[in-house]
Amino acid sequence: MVTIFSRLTEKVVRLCGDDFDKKKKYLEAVAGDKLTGNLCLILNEDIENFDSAKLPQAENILRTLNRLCYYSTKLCLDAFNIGMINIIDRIFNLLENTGRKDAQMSTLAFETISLINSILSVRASPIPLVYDATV
Amino acid sequence: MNIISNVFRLIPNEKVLAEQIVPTIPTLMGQLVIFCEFYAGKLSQKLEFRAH
Repeated sequence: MVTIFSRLTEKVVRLCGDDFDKKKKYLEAVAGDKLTGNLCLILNEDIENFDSAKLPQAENILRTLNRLCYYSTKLCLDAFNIGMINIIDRIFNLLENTGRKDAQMSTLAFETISLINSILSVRASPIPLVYDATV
Repeated sequence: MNIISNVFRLIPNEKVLAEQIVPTIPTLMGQLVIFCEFYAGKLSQKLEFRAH
């Protein structure tokens, strides 16, 4: 079920090319008011009762949340209100405690950091990063 | 689930996405909610079992 939404969000991002607003519109249509909540719930369960079989699903959810949060401030705030930041914190605790340096855990870390980057880019977007001194 | 997943992979253009795929989202969302309840429920049952 998680794969379906992951594929769909991925397809939306590919189909709309460079049009940020279209991506935002379709991703919000796909997500509605339930997707972020349900994804966070499944991710939370996966992390709390973690074993290596749950890694692909957890990565898939992180990738989907990444797309949603990057393109839509509304969906990002939804995820925040549901407690996504606590889940991210739990993932880092898990990574710290497992102590395994295998490739799979590195992918989980990479996907989590990408999600944080997306959240930060949404926050930073209204503020220009470089000011043009000539203006 | 795999069939639906493959259908999504083959969406050819934005028109198909808007007219044929987006209207199916509420049904899919219903399935996700059921999956979620089952998933969370099943896991909490497991934890209860362990506690006993």
